[in-house]
Amino acid sequence: MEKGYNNWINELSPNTNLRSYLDNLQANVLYDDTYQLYKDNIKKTDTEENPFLTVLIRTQGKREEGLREAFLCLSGQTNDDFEIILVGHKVEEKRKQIIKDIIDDQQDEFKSKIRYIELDEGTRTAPLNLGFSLAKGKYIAVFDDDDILFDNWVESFYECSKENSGKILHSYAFAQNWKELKGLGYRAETKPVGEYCQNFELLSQFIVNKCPLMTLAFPTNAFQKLGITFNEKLNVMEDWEYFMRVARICGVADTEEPTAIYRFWQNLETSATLHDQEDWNKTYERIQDGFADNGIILGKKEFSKLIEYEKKDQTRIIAQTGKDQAVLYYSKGATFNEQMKITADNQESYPQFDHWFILEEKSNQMKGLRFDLCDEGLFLLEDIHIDLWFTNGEKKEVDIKDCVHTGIPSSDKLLFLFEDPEIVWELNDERQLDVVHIYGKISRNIARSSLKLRLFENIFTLRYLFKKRAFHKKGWF
Amino acid sequence: MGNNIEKIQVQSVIYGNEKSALLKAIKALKQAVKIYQKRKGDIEVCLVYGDASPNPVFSDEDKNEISEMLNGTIQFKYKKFGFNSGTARGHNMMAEDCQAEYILIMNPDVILEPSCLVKMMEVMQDEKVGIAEARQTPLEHAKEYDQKTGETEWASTACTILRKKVFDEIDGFDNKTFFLYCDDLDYSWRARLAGYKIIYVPSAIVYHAKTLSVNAGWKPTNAEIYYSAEAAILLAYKWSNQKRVEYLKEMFLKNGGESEKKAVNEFIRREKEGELPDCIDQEHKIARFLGDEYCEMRFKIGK
Repeated sequence: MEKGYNNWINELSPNTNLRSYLDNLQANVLYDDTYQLYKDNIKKTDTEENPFLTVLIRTQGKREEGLREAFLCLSGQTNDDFEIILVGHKVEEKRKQIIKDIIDDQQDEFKSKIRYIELDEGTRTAPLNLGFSLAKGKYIAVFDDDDILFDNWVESFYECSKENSGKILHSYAFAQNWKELKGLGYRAETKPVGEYCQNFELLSQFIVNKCPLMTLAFPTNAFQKLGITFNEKLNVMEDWEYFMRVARICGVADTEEPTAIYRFWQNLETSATLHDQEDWNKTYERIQDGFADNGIILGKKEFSKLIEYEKKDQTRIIAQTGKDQAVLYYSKGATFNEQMKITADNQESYPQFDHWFILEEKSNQMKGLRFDLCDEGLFLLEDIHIDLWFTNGEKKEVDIKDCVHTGIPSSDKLLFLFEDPEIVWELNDERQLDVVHIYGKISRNIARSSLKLRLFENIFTLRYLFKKRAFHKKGWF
Repeated sequence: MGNNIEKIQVQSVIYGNEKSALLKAIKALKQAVKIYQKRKGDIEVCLVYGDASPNPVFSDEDKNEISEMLNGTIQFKYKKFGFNSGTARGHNMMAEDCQAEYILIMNPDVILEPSCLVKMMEVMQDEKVGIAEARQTPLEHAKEYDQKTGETEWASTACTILRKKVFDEIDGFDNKTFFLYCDDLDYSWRARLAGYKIIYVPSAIVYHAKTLSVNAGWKPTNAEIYYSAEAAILLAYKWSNQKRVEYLKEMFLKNGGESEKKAVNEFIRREKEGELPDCIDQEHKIARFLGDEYCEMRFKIGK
């Protein structure tokens, strides 16, 4: 059957979608020049003595406490079937001894799991290729020296691997702000929030990375036998780019368990601080071009979702024939709730929206208002106007810049990536509010130039979402 | 160091813990002691486990194996209490024959980072420090502390070094009032009332395995809910906050679950039987009650 299968592939014309996809893989993804540099490191044979997981840690020796904490988190794992490859990348001479001391401080049994390798060349991606080529584990996960693991991290991957051999394994992570206090140590600044506690979604993952590296365990064979390597020309987002290339071939299985905390450092050097926005933007563009060039195979879930989006787009967010309703919540100081809301039909047709909210209770005690246009995400709001009419006939225009919302500003537009878009604004007016008139235009035609610039911001806007959400949920907003 | 060898007694109250988790913690302690000896010099360490379980966790064979494993580094003592002592009483019992200058109180499943003991003991060199507390990971305790000195208002006893002299001076933990929760808070406040400082040491890290739900909330058990409710009312009473006592009683009876209502009934029973502690700090110099917290918090993890 295997011979028949290979012959069948060869019968496909190079112009066909599948053949073109496979030929492209072969030419550009598998066994590339980078692989040739590392292939001699690959000595692993599949034996029972190999650990389940290789944990790859990159360090520059600049975070002594971070590395100690990383080892401690691994010591605390309920499943100890792992090895550690610690790559000291471009470590300054004065820091080399620090790393060696930290390794030396560990218990003998734990120390025996550690292979320490110094690498003095290449971009920050080079240690990844080196580590992946040397890995003996069936799976490999990257855990840098500045994050935290719960004790179920290895076990969660292990359990998931039983039914999902060959796929990338994906677990959940919380996000938390941290900082370093000179002379004292590390300090958590905010509570953990479940920003990365969601299943892998292939399509949205192409737009923004929602999977921090430590939430992923890659089948080592993807590197060692299929020859898929990290792109060493990338200084940032190299993990995302690699993840998507492997995900398209191997697929992803979710453990649905939180296993880590992704630390956002407020005052330490990170890849975010080392590279300016222009660098990030250019890299984002290159990566996006690469995604477009290589195509994807859609699994059943993604295919169904795409069809659903297409159908919705045809019939709209604002119905072309019917009148879709939007909702306005109002507050006199309490949290927005279902008892204080008005719905209003759209008076226009898609792509325009035009809603008149007539308040039954005319009050000058209104403190805040919230506009929920629809349930879906992935659209642009253009030319949005919010007019407040008072009982004395006067009108006030609300500036969108004064609002808090779940979108991303893009010049005068708002890009809503996620479901349940909300726009909230404060009101402090002695006049009695009579009518709220909100109108504008929706677009699904998200111009690449604005998307690639603004979507990068979304990687960091996820942090702003914490603030917005906190603003939203505390007190009356 | 001269001829003065530091002496420290490490003590944990165990209750039905998994043997493998305890052994892991013991090995980590051994390594921390080794690193201390390498960096600072000799230290005499005695590890005491007070077993409050209905069925003892360790057999005699286990005990001998542990002693052998620790041979040369740590002396091991295993005390079977024969009853559920709770933490306050358990620690007092273990401290009764403690000859060391320091007591390291640890949750039995806490794993010390190898350099942890070095860092905590450095802080204890200041005689004014009554308590030094390690930083827990993966979930750090959210209480506030001075960002230059590490000084804080109270220490949880997940992993904390107490000065024995202070322990004796303030009569240890108040086990007549507290069973499982707030004993550490009460101890901390009394230590401060006696003029001692509490220092939080973020660079001294310990692994204390805890989990959060997918919504980043705690998942307390019924026992935890009961004992923390009981302790909250008693703490407020002891530290002269009658207003909070009344508030908690009302809130638990009105809105609480079975565990919280039971806690109120227990308080009322103690009141009737004359078993409540004397009220202290009536001028409110030390104890602070900020909503449901006992000091400023950097953040709060919900349920």
